[in-house]
Amino acid sequence: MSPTDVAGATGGGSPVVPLLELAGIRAAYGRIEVLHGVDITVPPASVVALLGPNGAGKTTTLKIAGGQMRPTAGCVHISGRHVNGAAPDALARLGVCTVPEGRGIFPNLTVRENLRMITYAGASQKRVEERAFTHFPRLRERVNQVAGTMSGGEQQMLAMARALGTEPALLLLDELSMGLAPLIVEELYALVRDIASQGVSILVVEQFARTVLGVADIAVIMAHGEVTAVGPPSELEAELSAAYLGVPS
Amino acid sequence: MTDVSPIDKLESGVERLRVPEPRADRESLLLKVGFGVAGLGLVLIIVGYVGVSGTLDVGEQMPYLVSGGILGLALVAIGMSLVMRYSLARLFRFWLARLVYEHQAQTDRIIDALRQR
Repeated sequence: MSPTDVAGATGGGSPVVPLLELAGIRAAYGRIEVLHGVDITVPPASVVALLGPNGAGKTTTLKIAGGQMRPTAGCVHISGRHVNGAAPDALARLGVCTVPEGRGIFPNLTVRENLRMITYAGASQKRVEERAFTHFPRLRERVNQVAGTMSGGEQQMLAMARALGTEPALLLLDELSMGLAPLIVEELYALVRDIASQGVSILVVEQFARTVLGVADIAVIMAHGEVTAVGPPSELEAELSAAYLGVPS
Repeated sequence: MTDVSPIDKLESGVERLRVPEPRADRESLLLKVGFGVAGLGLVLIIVGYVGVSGTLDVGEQMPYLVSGGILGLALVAIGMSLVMRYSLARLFRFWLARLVYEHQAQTDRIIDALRQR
């Protein structure tokens, strides 16, 4: 099944313009090509899980989707518009928000100050805090705590809260579960599902596949810079093992 | 903040988004510029020659020598450097691609030969 088929399947009878579409994406670091023609479609209000072993090209794909890296070939479409080479800050202002691997919070600022950083995108501090504390009540208790002294899970919540403060239309999450306890990861992914139900499209990169499959509408498996399988998570169990263990399915 | 939904904001925003157009083939352009600059240099040299040959007065010949001769020569040198640089790049790229292709074809022939044994 191709990504387009999946988009069509989730879109019902009439063709739905995908919120994000990567078509034939190639990318390289210097002369080393790491993506060899990647096709991924993210339909509106859906969670797409991008899975694969270390070095498969997942984070590079996410960087291209967020405009942080320019593909050497292929097209990035957002809401049907060709946006190759658009500035990442311009995309972020429009609602394409990335939560990077390692959270990307300011460790020496307090929770409130971290949230204030996102107000420069246009939202008021009150509105940002309201959204943050609604989704993550624990952050309210830590509002004056220096972010670097919080637990890994709380830091990830802060990163997510900051992303939600921008009121994104497309959320790009990189390794949400990195270094976190399974219970926290489950909590975060439940929230991801909740955010998607509010109309936000989410592309989530995850190395630990089982955690994200429960909330994803579509799973994309990557290996060696190529998409090896696309489809509903329930249909990709076999391919998943093959991708991670390197055995043919 | 207005009550426009994030999706609507994104859709209307990307319509206005400034996206740089892909650069034209800069290599081919610079190759043409090289030919142009070298041609201009040649024209200057000819103009200088005509000017110098038209008079026996050294004082009148000097401007032709400097503007036509020296500047013309400099432009020819710069233009030809550009031509060399970009035509050689194309040649070497083609050569390398050819080598890779030949190597692959040779490997395929060896594999076929081994299979037939």
